[in-house]
Amino acid sequence: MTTQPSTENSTENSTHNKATLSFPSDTELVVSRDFAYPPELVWRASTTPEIVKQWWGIAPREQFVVCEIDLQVGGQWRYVFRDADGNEDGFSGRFVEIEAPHRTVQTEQYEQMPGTEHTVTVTYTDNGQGGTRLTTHHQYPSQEMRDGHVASGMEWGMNITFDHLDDVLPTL
Amino acid sequence: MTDDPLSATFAALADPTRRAILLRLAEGEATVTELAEPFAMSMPAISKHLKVLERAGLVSRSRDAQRRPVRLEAAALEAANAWTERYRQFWDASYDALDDVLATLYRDRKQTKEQS
Repeated sequence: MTTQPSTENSTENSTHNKATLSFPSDTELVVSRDFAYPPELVWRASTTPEIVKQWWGIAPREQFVVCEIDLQVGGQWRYVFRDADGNEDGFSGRFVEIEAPHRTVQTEQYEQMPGTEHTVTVTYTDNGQGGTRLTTHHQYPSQEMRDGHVASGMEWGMNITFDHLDDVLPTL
Repeated sequence: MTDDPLSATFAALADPTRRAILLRLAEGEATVTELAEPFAMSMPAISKHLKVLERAGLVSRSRDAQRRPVRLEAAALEAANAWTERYRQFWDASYDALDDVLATLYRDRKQTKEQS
C-alpha cells in the first residue's frame, strides 16, 4: 500500500489536473477528473457536508448557505447558494443507489427551473496508483435538457464569476 | 441553418462516425466517396451523416458540379468548443478547490496515523 499520494499527474501545488467533458450521446454528459488521492478520501470529501461546503460550486464560500446530505437510499441531498441580494440557486435530489466508497446514483434538479430533474451517477475509481478518477455521468430525458444544463451551468458560473469580478475590480 | 445552432452542433458531434468525418476534414476537403472509404457504411448512410453536419453548419459543400467536395467550417466548431470549454472551466474551478481540500485531508490523516 502506498504512503505517498500518486504524483503522476500533479506537481506539488502548482498544477492541477483538468476536467474532461464528453457527450457519449445527445442525452448524456460526462465530466471526468483525476485526483492524486485514494477513493475513500475523495468519497469522504464529496459526501460530508462540512467538507463539500469548502469546494463545491464556484460561488464565494459564504454564499453556500445550505448543504445537506442524507447519505442513504431514498435520502435527500440539497445545496443552496444565496447572494447578497437574496437570489438563490438550489440543487437537490434523492439517492437511488449507494456503494461506498465507489459509486452513488442520485436524482438532481435545479430548483429554480422545474422539470430539470435527471439522473446522475458518480463513480470514484481507484487508478491502482493511489489515485482516483472521479466521473460524473448525467443522463437526461432529452437532448434539450442536456444542452440546457450545459448552457445554464455555464451562465450560472459566468454570472457568479462576473459578480465576483465586480467585487474584486475596485480593490485592484 | 437552424434557430439553435449550438444544439444542432452538439447533436452533430454526438456521433462517433460524424466526429471521425470532421477529423478527416480537418486535414483538408474531401469528396463523399473519399469520406465513406474508412467506414463499412453505404453511401446513403454517409450522406445522412453529412446532411446533419451541413445543417449544423459544421461542413459545407462546394457547388463544383463534378466533385462537390466537402469542407470543414471551423468557425462553427470553434464556437461549440468555446462553449463546452467554459462549462469545463466551471467544473475545473470546483475540482481545483476539491484538490486543495483533499491535500489538507490527506496531510491531516497522515499526521493522525503517525501520532497513534
